[in-house]
Amino acid sequence: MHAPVVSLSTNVEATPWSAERLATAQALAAPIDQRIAQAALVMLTLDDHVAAHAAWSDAQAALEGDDRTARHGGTT
Amino acid sequence: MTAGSIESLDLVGAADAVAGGQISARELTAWALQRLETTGRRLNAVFRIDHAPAMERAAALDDLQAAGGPLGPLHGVPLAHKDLFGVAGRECHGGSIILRGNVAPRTAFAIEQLDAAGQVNLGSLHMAEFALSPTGYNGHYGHGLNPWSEVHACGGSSSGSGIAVAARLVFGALGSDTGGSIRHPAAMCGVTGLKPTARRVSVAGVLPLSHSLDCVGPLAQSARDCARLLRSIARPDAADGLCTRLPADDYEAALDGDLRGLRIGVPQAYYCVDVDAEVADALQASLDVLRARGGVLVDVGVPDMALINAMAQLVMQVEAATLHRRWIESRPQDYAAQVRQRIDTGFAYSAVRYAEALSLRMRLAQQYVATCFAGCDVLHMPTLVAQVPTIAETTEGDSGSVQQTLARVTANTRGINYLGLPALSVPAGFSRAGLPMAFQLVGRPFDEAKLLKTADAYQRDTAWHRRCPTLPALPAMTAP
Repeated sequence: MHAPVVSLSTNVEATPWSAERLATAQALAAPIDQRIAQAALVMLTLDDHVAAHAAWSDAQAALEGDDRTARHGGTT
Repeated sequence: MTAGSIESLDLVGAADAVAGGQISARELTAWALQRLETTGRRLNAVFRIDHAPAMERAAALDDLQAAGGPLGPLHGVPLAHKDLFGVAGRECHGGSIILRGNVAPRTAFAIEQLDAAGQVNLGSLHMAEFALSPTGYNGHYGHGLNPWSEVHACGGSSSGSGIAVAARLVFGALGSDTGGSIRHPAAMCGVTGLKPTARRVSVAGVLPLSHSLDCVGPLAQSARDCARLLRSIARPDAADGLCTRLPADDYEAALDGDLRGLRIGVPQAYYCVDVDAEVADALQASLDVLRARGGVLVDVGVPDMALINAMAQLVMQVEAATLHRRWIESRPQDYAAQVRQRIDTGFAYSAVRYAEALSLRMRLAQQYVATCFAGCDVLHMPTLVAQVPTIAETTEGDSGSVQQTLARVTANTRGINYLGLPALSVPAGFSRAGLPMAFQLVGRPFDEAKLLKTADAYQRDTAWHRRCPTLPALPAMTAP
């Protein structure tokens, strides 16, 4: 067994994979990673995170006629 | 009933025949078991057939009926399901060799609901290894074979479900859909397949691939069949904390054939780009049928699908990598190369990127709904932009061309899972090569009823979903 994965950026760097396997995974991931990174920089702010969560909760509550307080364990 | 007349039944017809006493559950089950054992084995559609338990179940249902007991909507109807639905005490390996011999500790919630509705569960069906192929590829157990052409892909990952319904081995089957895995086999095998809204159906007791994207849904001959199956399985389930508590609609009651005033959105970007000419013709013909039924065709715009598809791919691969990490590290040789590579990629994303993809999900879903559904009720588009690929095109040659073929298979399906919307694949004709073509209807969240109503209206005026592949003659049916 190898050491536990500790890398914060890419998990693959801490694996015992061959250089080829590692390079393939990173090459396949790179364009998607960059696409999302760029979009997130433009689209996401801290307020958006909060708003997205609230919107989801509100949508669920509206759809289900739910008591949000009960559903979320009284923490909302 | 003769074997030929049984073969002409759809799921609702089979349920009606049993309820009306034209055929017993035992006779119907014996017929389906024989077809699964012969044609099903030959098409590699089956992993496990539970002969004795199925016949015992059918006998018990006949006894219940004879005693005047209550009949469920699927009373005595033989079904079989993708091999990732647990049935307590029976093997469930998810198309892998890693889980070979794994005995399910509990029965999946959706299977329990079908049991309560009166199904006879015949066994487990072929699937892509760990649900990780859009074509039905399985490096360990072989390809499922498309009953229309054995050199063409059958679609995956719910491959056996598509084959079994198309070849009339069973009257319906459950599949799962993480990026198109119900809709691909439905489209390639010529059956109707429904991916419901995210968590409309509980995933408890189902082997996961990606907990954010996995959906459970039915494949059957017709929209009406799918409506009956969905009504049976769409129930609240405390064992799946994200499963909606919304009551299911009466989907069958909505099937009135009347599309007057229904606005059908026809995308003017992305979904209509790079579409095969024969597929485009079939799509246009289907729109003509829907318009003749009263549907109003409306042009609609489409948001940035490249971004949405990227989000879907990242979420699926990261969550699959998380689930498979232990085995990927300790038993990498037990994965087919094509499957392992897809999981490997999930390890190459950062946690921040994954969190960003999930954080943007609600905003992108709202944006998609606002853009696409502002002026329409359902979207209409090809399920597959290309014709059904050959098995060789999806497995042989250089990696780049294989990836390109696979990307075209998932182009119109994958993003829908990220958005969480319901989608229905509907048979829409056959290519000159004799392979099925299909259109896909996409709806607002929890608006499955409108998709089923639209497809049912189309199927009242067309017979593509009734067309059955020519298969080798079966041996005479043995008496139960």
